[in-house]
Amino acid sequence: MSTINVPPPRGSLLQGTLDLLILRILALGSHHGHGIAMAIQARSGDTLLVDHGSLYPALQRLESRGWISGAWGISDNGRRARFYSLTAAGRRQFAVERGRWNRLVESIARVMEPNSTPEKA
Amino acid sequence: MFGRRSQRDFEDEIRAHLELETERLRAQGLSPQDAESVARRNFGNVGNVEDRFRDAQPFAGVQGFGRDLSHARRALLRTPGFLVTAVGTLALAIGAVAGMFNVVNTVLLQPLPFHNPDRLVAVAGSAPGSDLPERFDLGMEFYLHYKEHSTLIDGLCMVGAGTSTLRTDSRVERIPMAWPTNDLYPLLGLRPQLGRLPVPEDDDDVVLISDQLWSSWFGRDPSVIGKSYFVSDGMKQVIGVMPPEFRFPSDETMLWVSTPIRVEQVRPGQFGALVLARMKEGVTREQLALELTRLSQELPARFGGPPSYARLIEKHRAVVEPLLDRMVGRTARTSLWMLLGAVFIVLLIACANVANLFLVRAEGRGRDMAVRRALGASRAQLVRLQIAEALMVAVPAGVFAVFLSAVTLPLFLRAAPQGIPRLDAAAGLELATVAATFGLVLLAVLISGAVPALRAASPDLTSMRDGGRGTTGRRYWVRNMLVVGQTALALVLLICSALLVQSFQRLRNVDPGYETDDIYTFQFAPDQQHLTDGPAWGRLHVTFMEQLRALPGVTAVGLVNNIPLDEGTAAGRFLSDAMSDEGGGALLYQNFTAGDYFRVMGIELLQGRAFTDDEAFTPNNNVIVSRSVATRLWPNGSPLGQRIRRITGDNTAVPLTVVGVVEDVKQDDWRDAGEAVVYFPLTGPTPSSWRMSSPAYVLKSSRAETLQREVRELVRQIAPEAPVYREYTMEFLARRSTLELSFTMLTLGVMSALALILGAVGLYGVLSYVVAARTREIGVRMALGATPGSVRRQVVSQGTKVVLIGVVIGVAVALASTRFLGALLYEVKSLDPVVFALMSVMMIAIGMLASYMPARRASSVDPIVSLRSD
Repeated sequence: MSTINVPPPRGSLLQGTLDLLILRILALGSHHGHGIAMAIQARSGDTLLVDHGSLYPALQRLESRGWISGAWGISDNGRRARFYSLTAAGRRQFAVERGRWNRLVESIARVMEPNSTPEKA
Repeated sequence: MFGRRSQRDFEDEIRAHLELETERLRAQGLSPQDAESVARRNFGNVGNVEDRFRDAQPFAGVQGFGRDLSHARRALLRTPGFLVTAVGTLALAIGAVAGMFNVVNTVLLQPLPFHNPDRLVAVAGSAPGSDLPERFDLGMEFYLHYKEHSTLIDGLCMVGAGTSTLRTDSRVERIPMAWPTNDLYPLLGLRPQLGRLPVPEDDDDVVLISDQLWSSWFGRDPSVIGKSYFVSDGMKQVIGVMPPEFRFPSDETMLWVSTPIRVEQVRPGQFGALVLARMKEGVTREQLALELTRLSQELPARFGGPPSYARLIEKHRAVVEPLLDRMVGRTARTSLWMLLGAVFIVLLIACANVANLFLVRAEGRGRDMAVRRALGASRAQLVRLQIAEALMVAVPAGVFAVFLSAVTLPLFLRAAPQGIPRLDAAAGLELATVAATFGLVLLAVLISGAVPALRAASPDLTSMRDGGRGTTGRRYWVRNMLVVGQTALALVLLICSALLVQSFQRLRNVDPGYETDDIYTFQFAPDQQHLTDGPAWGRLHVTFMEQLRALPGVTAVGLVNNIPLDEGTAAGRFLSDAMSDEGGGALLYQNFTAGDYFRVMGIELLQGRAFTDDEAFTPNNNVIVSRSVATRLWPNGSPLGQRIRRITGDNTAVPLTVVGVVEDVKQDDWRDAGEAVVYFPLTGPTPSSWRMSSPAYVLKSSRAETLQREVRELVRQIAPEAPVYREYTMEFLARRSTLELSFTMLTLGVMSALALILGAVGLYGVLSYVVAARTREIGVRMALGATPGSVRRQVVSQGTKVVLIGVVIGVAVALASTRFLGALLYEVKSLDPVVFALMSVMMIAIGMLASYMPARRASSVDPIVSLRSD
């Protein structure tokens, strides 16, 4: 309940990370938009709340770049929904983005360490 | 995947998302309603997301604009009054500009239909300090000498023009014709569409005819080539038909008589033929003028002539002007450009009015706009919406304008003066005009749409708070500026047209030295065996005058060689006894007359007597002189009985005796001074004094308008071979002589009236709006004790202030621009202070009137009602 009523803080996702997260989720298998949002939330342990409003333009962006493709299908509970899956290009792009992300996280982590000099470590 | 997704598909997807989310929330235990609203809240602004999808599509801008257009169309159709006013105002103004542009383009901008027309020039002469006119046409000796010696030209020709008789087996008429030298055709680069060009062996025995004459007289029958007809003074053979575009020197010229010029014909000092030249590549008009001036100085040595001729040549400066300028003439050019400027000003004023209408409209929707802004409409979108509305108004206006000018232009041109080349061709709309119209539409959109658009875009969200009822005057400055501009432009037009009206009135009130009421004039050209000398010719006319006098209602009949306002008079040199032969004498105009000419025309006989009928067919040396001749030659004594000598071409002097003095007349143009004229009797000093050209008859009759048929019948009886022509009333000739000015004046008058009305409506609209918007404030004032009078004064003074600024700017602009009218003005200075003052006062008065009506409405505000209404 509380997760619902507390509005997700704006910009809680780093700029540009939504695309990466979408690619990551789709790398596991095809999903519809709502499923992607739920999957991100679940995998983050309910800490990352996806702004539903920005999800669909992002999907549209990725699709127009040819990284994902969408097709209408039927969801688990029998509803019509648009399912997205990674294309071959999307898969390559995901590899590139993941490498970039890991390097970024390592760099930031090194900066953030309390003792940045290796001698004292 | 590569196919574009439809907007609907995207919206479906979002709906599916919302359903999935609602379902999830319900599964968590929310009520259906709560689940749905929370799902929506979690999603955020659905419309915004959909807009982002739309804007991300290729051509989203165009699609968006299409949406704006259809939105604008719907919005405009909801307010038909606004739509009709705006479209109508713009259509009228754009149509007027399009029509005038068509005329200016056809007459002034399009090159003449000749080979390399930009290198064609007219060569004239000027002789500052002599008694010749400011600019005069040249004589044969100039043509011959220039042609042989100029190094800067590729060709030269000389053209005389006039009207003369053409007679076929079935038809006889006087038609406009020209007498060009044969080098005219290669010079202009035109060939006949049928037949051949003249060669030197043809001498002056051949003619070329125009396409129009070929149609109207010969039914386009090719066998006309090789036939001979009576032209001007003898039988001449038709050798060719010129193409339709060959209209030279005037549009009306129907026939060209081959006219070779031989050195032995030259009489130095006989001026009056158009000389044109083709300049060599890269030569400027100034260079050519210098060369020709230098060459002219060799003329007296080569051709001789009297001493006065040599003195004239010393002063002579060649004048070289573009051929088109010469053909159109200075006043016509000034008029056309000025009228184009005037209609353009009207268009600007109309645009300002439409901008104003848009502003009022936008103001009414200020709240709507503010809400849109608050809901996330971008500034660009609002501007786009305004521009879309302006386009929806201007484009139909442009289409109407094209129709409007296509229909009205021919009517307008029918009222235009004759003699402006290519003017009749301007009746058909050119492609360039239609293109220009759409340029004007864009201009109208820019002016009338941009101002409201920028205002709509201003981040003025506060107007939502106070409901668009601003109480400060600051917000009206845009509109005030529009009114200032309108006032200034309207005043410029008003001043220009007032100056023309003044000129016209002064011109119509000029005493030309003759009357124009109840006078009928005509000419006929008899060609009979017995008419071999002056006395025979004189008798014919004296007899015919008797017959005309017998017509019912005709009280007096006379004749004259060159009637004022229709034909110019030739000039000659005369010596009084007091003058030495070397002085060159005085340049005086000469005319011949018989019957009651002076009485019919109301030309006052000041001294002595008129000619008798006997003098018309008995060679004699008597002359009558006009007042200026008498004061110039005999300033102290009586002119009666004085002797003068006329110097002829071969430098001999013919002695003459003065028997009468009459008032001067203004021959061509009432703006000119009266001419100094020597009148000869019909037959002159010797039986062959005059080439037997046909005189103009004048009949005094209250039935001047209806005499034509009876006169023609009389002519048919005595000379069936003779064409009757130049049939006018003097009243008509007087009107015709001022037609250029009156036409310009009328058109400009209509334009400035339109400008004035539009300006006044603009001011009225702004003040009405201001009053409406300030009803509450005015109510408060009145509740606090302001009298209706003080409220009225306040509104009127607000309007007057705006108008005053406009008047100051308008006067400044007019001061700088009225001098372009110079060529059209008569006895009115282009900076006439009375006209400037009167028109400014009138403008202010109209401004106050336009302010008074809203002011009265303001003062009738009921404080209770106005306060309660909020």
